[in-house]
Amino acid sequence: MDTVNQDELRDMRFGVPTAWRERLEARVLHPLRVTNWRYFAWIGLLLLVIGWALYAYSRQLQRGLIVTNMRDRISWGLYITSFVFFIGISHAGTLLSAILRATKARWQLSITRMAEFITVVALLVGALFPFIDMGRPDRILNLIFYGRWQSPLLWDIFAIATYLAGSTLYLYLPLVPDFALCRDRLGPTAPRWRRLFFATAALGWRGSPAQRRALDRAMTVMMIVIIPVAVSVHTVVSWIFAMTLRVPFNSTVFGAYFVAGAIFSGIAAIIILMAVLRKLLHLEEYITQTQFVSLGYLLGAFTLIMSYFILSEYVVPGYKMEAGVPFQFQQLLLGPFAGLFWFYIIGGLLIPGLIVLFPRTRTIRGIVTAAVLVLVAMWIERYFIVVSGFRVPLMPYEPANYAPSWVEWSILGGAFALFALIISVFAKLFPMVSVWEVVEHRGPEPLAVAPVVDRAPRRGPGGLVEGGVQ
Amino acid sequence: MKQRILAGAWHAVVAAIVLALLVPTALAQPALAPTAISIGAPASATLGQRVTLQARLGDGTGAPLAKATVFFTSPLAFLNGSGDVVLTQATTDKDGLAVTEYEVRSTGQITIQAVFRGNDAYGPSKADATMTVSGDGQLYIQHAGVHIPGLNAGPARAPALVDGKLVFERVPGTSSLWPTMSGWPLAAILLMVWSLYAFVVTLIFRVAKADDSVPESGHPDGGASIGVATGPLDVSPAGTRPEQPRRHQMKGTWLVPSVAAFVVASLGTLLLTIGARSPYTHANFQPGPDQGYTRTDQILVGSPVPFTGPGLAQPLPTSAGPIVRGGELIVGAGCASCHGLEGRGGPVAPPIIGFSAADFRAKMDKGPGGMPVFAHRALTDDELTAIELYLKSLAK
Repeated sequence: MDTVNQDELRDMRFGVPTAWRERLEARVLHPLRVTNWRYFAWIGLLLLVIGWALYAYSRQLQRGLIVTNMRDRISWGLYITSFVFFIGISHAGTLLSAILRATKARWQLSITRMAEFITVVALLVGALFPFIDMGRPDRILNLIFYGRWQSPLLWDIFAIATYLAGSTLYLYLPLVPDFALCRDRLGPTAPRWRRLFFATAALGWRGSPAQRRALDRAMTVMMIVIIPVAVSVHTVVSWIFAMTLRVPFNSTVFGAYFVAGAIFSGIAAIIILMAVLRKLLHLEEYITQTQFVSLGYLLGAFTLIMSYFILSEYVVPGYKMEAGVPFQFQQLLLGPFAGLFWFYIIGGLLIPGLIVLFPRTRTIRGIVTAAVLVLVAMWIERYFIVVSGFRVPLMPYEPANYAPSWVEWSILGGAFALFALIISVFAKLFPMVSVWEVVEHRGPEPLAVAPVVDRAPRRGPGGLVEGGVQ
Repeated sequence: MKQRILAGAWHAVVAAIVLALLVPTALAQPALAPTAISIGAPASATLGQRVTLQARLGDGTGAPLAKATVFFTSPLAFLNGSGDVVLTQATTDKDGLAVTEYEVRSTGQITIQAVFRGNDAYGPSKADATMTVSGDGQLYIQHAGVHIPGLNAGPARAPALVDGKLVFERVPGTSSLWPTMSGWPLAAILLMVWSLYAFVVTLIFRVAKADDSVPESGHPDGGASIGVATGPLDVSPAGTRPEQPRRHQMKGTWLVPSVAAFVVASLGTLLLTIGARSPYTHANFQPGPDQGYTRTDQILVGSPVPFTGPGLAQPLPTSAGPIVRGGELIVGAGCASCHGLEGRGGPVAPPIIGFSAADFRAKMDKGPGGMPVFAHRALTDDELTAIELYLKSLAK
C-alpha cells in the first residue's frame, strides 16, 4: 500500500515498463536537480546581450525614434517586423498542442510542453515590440482611456491579451500533474523555496478521480477555445497592414496568409527548440525521428500552402497592375528587395520542401536544417512585407530607403536573448516533457524509425479506450 | 558737323534727364486713401461653439466702405513656420459691416484679426481681438469602422446645399438596418471567450479542492502517487485504503487558482470596459441615427453670409446711455446666449432679472453650476452696472 506499489499499479494499468517510466522521470527531472557552470555562463551571456539592448533602448527613450532609421516615409521597420515574427512563432503551441490534441494524435505528446511554452514566451517577447515601436510608450494608455473598437490597434490589444491569458492557462493545466511529480520526487532534496513552489503550483494534485475529471474538462475547453483565439490573433495582426492605405497591403487574403505563415514559422521554431533541448537535456529516447519526421511533413505541407498564398498574393494584383503595383513588383522581384524575396522563395519554400520530400534528406539533421531556413526566411518575409509596403510612394516623391540602425539591431538581439533567457530559466522550474501524458497516453517510443507509423492511440483524456490495445 | 553732333548729344542728355524725372512720377499711383477697421468678437467662447465675427470698415473720415472683402484670420505657428490662417471671410454691406460666423475649433487664447487687404483706392488695414476659448470635446464624427452600404450604412444621397451648408443625407430607411454591426459582436465574442476562461478557472479551483475521502463509483482510488486513474481498466486491488494527503502536498494550494481568478476577472473586465467606453460617436453600445458627415462649413468666396444673430457680438463703442449700453453688453458679452435677451433665463440657465452688479461679479468670478468662470477684467464694474440698469429698465 505504499507509494511504490501505487506507481507500479499505474504502470501495469497503462502497460508501460516500470524501468522505462522511472528512467523517463529521472531524465526529465534531471535538469531540475542539477545545474552546472555552463548554464550560468549561458545565462550571463544572455544577460549581457539584454543589458546592451536595454542601453540601446534607453538611448531611444532619451532621444526619441530619431535614433532608429525609421522616418516619415518608411515609418515601420524592424520593430513591427519582429512583432509579427514573434507573434507568428507563438502559433507553434496552438497548432501542435491544441489541434493535434483535439484530433487525438499521440506522437506529439512528448513535445507539447515545449510547444505550449514557445507560445507563451514568444507572445511575451512579441508583445513588447509595439511598446518599443512607440517614441512615447506612455501613450499606450491612450488606448485604454480613449480606445475605440474601430481601431485595429485596439483589436491587437484585445486579441493578444486574450491569447496570452488563454495560452498561459493552457500551458499551466497539463503542468499540474507534473508539478505534483516534481513535488513528490524532488521534495526532500530540493531547497525550501522550490518545494513551496512545486506544492503551490501542484494544487494538491493527487490524481484523484474528481481532480482528473476537472483537469480533463479544463484542458478540453481550453484546447478548443485556444484554436479560434490563435487564428484571430494573427488575422488581427495582418489587418494592421491590410487596413492601412498602402498599395501592397490592399489584400483580402492577408488574414489567412498571415495565419498560415504564422503556423509555418511556428513549426520551424518548435523543431529547432526540440532539437536543442533534446541535445542539451538528453531526451533522445523520448524525442525521436518520429517527432521530427511528423513535424517535417507538416512543414513540407505548409511550404505548399505558403506557395499557394504567394501565388494569390502576387498574381491577382499583377494581372490588374493598378497604380503602385508595378513599382512594388519592380522593387520586390528585381530591385532592392530582390535578394530577400528570392531567398524567401528558394531558401524558405523550395529547399525546405525538397528536403522533406526526399527520404535521403528526411533525417533529423535535414529537417532541422529545413526548419532553420524556414525560420530565417519567415523573418525576412515579414521584413520585406513591412518595408517594401511602406516604400511604395504615396505621392510623387522619391522612394525612401531604410536600413535598421544599431539601436534597432541591438533591441532585436536583446529580444532574441530575452526569448532564450525565459526558456532557459523556466527549463529549471518545470519539466520540459509532459511526463504524465507520455506515460499514460503514449508509452515508450517505437524502435522502428521508418516507416513512421504512430502507435494506435490507447486512451483519450477521459480514460476511454479509443483504439485497439497493442 | 561736329556742333550738330554735340547739340544732338546735349538734347539726348536733357531728354534722358527729363524722362528719368517724369516716368516714376507718371508710374507712381496716387496715394491710397487710408482705411480704418474695427473688429467685434466675443471675449469668450466654448469649444465647438459658433461665434459671430464682425468688422466695420471705413475710410479715413469714418464713412463706411461697402462691397469690400474682409478676411478673418488667426495667427498660427506650426513646426518652424508661422502665418495667418483664414478662418472665414465676408463682404461689407452699405454700412461697412462685414458679419460672418465661425465654429471655434481650438482652445486657449485665440487672436482673431479682421484684415482688409486693400484695393486700388484704399490702403490695407487690420484690427485684432482676443477670444478665450474653453472646453473640451470631440468636434467631429469619425466614420472609421465597418460600413457596408445596405447592411449597416445606407447609401448616401448626393450632398445638397442647404442654407449655404453641404448636407450629406442618407436614403431614409436604409441606415442601420443591422445595428448589431456596431460593436456588439466584438463585445459578445470577447465576453464569450473570457467567460470560458472563467469557467476553466473554476475547474482549477475544483482541482485544488477535490475531496477524495469518499471513493467514487466503487473505485477506492486516490492513492498518494501521481495520476492513478479510475476507469474501466482500473486495476487497483479492492480494499486499498485511500491515503490522506500529506501536509507538504497541500501547502499554498489556493494561491494559483486565486491569482488566476483575479487576473482573468480583471483583464477580461478591462478589455470589455475599453470596448464599452468606446465613444458614442462611433455608435458602439448605443447605435444612434447617423448624422451624416460633419464638416467645417464652406463659405463661398465673395458671398456675404447674411447676419442672423440677435445682436452685435461685441458692441462697437457707443455714446448712448448706460441702459442702451447694458442692452448691447448683455448680448455682446454672451450673457444672452444662455440667460436670454431679456435675462429671463433659458433651457440651460436661470433668469438673472433683479441681480445686482455685485451679484454678477460674484457669479462671474466663481462660475456657479454650468456657467464658466470669466476673467475678472472681462467686464468692468461700470459695464456690470449697465447690464443691471438695462435689466431693471425692462422690468418696469
